[in-house]
Amino acid sequence: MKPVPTKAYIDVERKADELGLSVPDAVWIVPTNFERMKSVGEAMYDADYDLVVKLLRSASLPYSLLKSTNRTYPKLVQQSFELAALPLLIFTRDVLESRPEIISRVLCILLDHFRDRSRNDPGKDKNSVKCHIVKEDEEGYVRADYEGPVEGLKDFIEGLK
Amino acid sequence: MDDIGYVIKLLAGQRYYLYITRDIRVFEAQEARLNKLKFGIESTKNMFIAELNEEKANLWLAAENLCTGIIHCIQMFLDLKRNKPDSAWNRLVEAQNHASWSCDKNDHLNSLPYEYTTYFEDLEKNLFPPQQFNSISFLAKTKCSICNSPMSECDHIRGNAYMGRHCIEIITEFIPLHVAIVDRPGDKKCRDTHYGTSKDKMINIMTLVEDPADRSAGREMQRAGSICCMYPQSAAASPVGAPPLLPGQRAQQE
Repeated sequence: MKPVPTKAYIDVERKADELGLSVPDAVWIVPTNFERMKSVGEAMYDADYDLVVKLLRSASLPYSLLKSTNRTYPKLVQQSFELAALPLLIFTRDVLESRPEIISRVLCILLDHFRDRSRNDPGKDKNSVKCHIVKEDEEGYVRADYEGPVEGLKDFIEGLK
Repeated sequence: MDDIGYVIKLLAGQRYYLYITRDIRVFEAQEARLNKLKFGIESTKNMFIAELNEEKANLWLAAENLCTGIIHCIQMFLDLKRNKPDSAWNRLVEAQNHASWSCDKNDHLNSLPYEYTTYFEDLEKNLFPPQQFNSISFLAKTKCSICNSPMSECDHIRGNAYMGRHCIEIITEFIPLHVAIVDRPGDKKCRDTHYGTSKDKMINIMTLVEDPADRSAGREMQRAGSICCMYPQSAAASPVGAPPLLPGQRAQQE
């Protein structure tokens, strides 16, 4: 399996510090504009962030939004035909060490949901899913992006392992 | 009426009528029959909702959506026969949407929703010219149509059926950002409808002629640019059980 191409990402802990946040010991679901945010008030989530919240919650997987408060965030809705616009998911080294399987579990849950959702859609080959993952490794934080058909997510999962 | 097998058979038999060559009187008669059938399906669904039988309520919701989709398809043929291609287009999009909403994960209606969805997609390619679509981008806060909670707080999944109703997102706050031209829009009714070559002439993209009704509307629209587009109210074609516009479609403004 070919490894998924990644690119360097900002230092998440430093950025969280600047914003007055702490990095949770869970899958961190962060706004799409996290890199550019100057304050929490600017947070703007991808349209399906709440779907990810629901799916992780129902699978009893640990997750956290920007802050642990029950605040709701504005989301960016694009009326083009995407099967889903998923939020940026950050997996820190601590989370990966305590649950090495967590990236593939999260992505498998999403994959199952979208496979089921698009099963009867004649245009399913044209539907795309956007997914952004940030993970921390020895070198620091790296980001991997996926945009394409639902079935391609499987290779994305394998390549990220 | 509580025999779903009988209803599936009736709905499957409707394919026989869905051809442009059928006489307008045949379409009108089928439309009337299907409206009666839809009323019966809806009554049965409501009966199961009253009995709190969620599985049956959702099954009959799927049948209701499929029936509504077929009615829209017949209305599309009627509009084409009456030389109203823009309205026909909107009917077709409604037919496609309702057929896709009738696909439930348990395949209660067998492969029928898939067959109709595919057929309605084919009609788009074979009956209408290619369209230029538009897509709006906006920031929103939304709530759940089932429980009224903010969308991230409840467990209802947009597009899923709950006790005979689909879960949709209702927009509670809305900030428009931009409009883009796209190949695959969330709402196919958002499309360019006219083009203009001078201040006095607006050509309908469907018919390639200017007609009197277009002229006044076209002049108004032309002030904004040489190509006009139409953004119908999503709510004007409210779906049965209010399912999502999604996947592409996101929400309905409150």
